[in-house]
This record gives sequence, structure tokens and C-alpha cells, in this order.
Amino acid sequence: MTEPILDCGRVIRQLWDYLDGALAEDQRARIFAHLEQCAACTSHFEFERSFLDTVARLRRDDSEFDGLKRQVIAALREKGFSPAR
Amino acid sequence: MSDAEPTDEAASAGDPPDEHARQRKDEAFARDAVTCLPDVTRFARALTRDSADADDITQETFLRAYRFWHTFVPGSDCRRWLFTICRNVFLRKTERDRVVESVGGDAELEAVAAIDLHIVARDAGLDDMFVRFDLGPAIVRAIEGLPAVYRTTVQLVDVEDMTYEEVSQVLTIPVGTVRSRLFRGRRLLQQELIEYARDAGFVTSRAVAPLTSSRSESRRETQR
Repeated sequence: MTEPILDCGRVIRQLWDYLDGALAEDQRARIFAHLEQCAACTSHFEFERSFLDTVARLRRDDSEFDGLKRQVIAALREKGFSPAR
Repeated sequence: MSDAEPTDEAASAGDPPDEHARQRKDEAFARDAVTCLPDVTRFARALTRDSADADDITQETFLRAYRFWHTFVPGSDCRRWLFTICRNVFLRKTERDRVVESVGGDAELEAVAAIDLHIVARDAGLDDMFVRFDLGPAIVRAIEGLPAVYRTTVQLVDVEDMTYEEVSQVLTIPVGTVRSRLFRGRRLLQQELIEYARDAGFVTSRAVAPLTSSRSESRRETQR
């Protein structure tokens, strides 16, 4: 690989973008390569990733919205909504 | 543009559908739109911070979406279309649409600040706090406590898993603003969670280090 190795500061500045999948493939590959050999940046990466995983788990339980869904469907039916099932 | 807010003019342009077409429309609406109700409700809650108001906004969003369903482009992102309607319903209700929020900042500086917070957590013995402890209820409260501009962005990206570009379209702000609000929001959220973990005695190792004035900073943000 001819690209220079990224320094830690550059990696940290782009870490959120990296975790969010918002980087172009070549940038992504360079950060990945840095993380493979830098324990300090990997530690920070793991901390941020575990944070994002925890926040993302808030999405998993949709059952609490069943009551509202019934209410909204009833309101839609008054407007003519009538799906087959 | 498929995400444009529907208009009454657009509604009147549609021909009255026959029964078969109406049936198809309703099935598509049930399949593509109604299934997004939990996502829309969570977003409405992030906008309002009040579950009763959020439920009202969600219902109005779906009534409006049903009315203007013929303007939805089949195959495009229905959830994003609903989020756009939801936000507009919210803005109309609260009459905040004329308020231009200039809160933002430098996204890269926020990313650098994030590592400082990680160091605080590590020094407080909380390096693995997100893995070891159930922070779910605390995170819900912490998100609710974020200033609105950060709360909506964090909700859409981190909870609803939208891209920067998608959020940019829903909130009608540049991608750079999405990034800076998101990164700031994450930092504020982490500050609150680290404080919560320390207060709850979750510290797992080493000495407790002072957490640099996170509450006062968070309050300042709230007052903006």
C-alpha cells in the first residue's frame, strides 16, 4: 500500500464518520489499517462503538406502540382506509 | 422530490380511485407506511419530549400521509417521507418553523473532544460501562434531556439508523450541520451517562476522577 499511515489525530477526527459508515472506501481502509496496529485508537474505537450499540438497542422493542397503532388505524378507517387484511 | 411536503394542490390533482385501486392503495399504505409507526412515534417523541403530544403528532402524520399517499413515489424511502411529514406537523403545531437554529460547531473538534470524554470514563473505571451495565432507561432519559437540535439528530442517526444525507433531507439542514449536531449530541449524551454511572456506583476500577463541569455545560446548552 503506497498511502502513508494515518496519524492518531487524523483517525480520531474521522472516527465517528468511520463508525457511521460515512467514509469512502479508501479512507475507511486506511483507518481500519491504523486501528489494526494502534491499541490506543482501538480502545477509543471500542468505547465509541459500544456506546453506539447501546443507543441503537433502544429501537428494538416496538411492542409498546401496539396501542397507538390500533388507535391510528381506527382514525384512518374513518378516512376510508380499508386494507384487505 | 419525493420527500417534499405534500400540498393540497397535489391532493386535488388525483382522480377518485375505483374500488380496486383503492384496495391496492390501502394495502400498500398498510405495508409501507403503517409498519413505520414505531419509528415515527419515537421520532415524534424526540421532537416533543411529551408522549401524549407525540401520539397526537404521530396520528396526524399518518392521517396526512394517507391523504397524500398518491404523492409518495413507490420504491422510495417511505420512512424518510413519513419523518418529513412528522417534522412538518410538529413545526406547524409549535410554530417554530421560523426559528432558524444556528447551533452547530465544528464537527472535527467534537470528534476530538470525544476522546477526552473517553479518557474521563477510563480514569473513572468506566471504560466498559456500555458493555457491562444496562443503561437503557438512563439513555432514554439522557436523550430526552438533550437540547432539541441535538436530540432530533441523535434520534434519527443513532436510534433510527439513518444516514447523514437522509437526516439532512428530513431536517432540511446541510450534512455538515448534521455531523456537528450529532457529534455534539453524542458528547453531551456520554457526559450525562458517565455521570449517571458514577452516581449509581457503577465504577468498576481505579480512582474516581472529577468529571469536568459536564452538568453546567449541559445546562448552558439547554438554555440556548
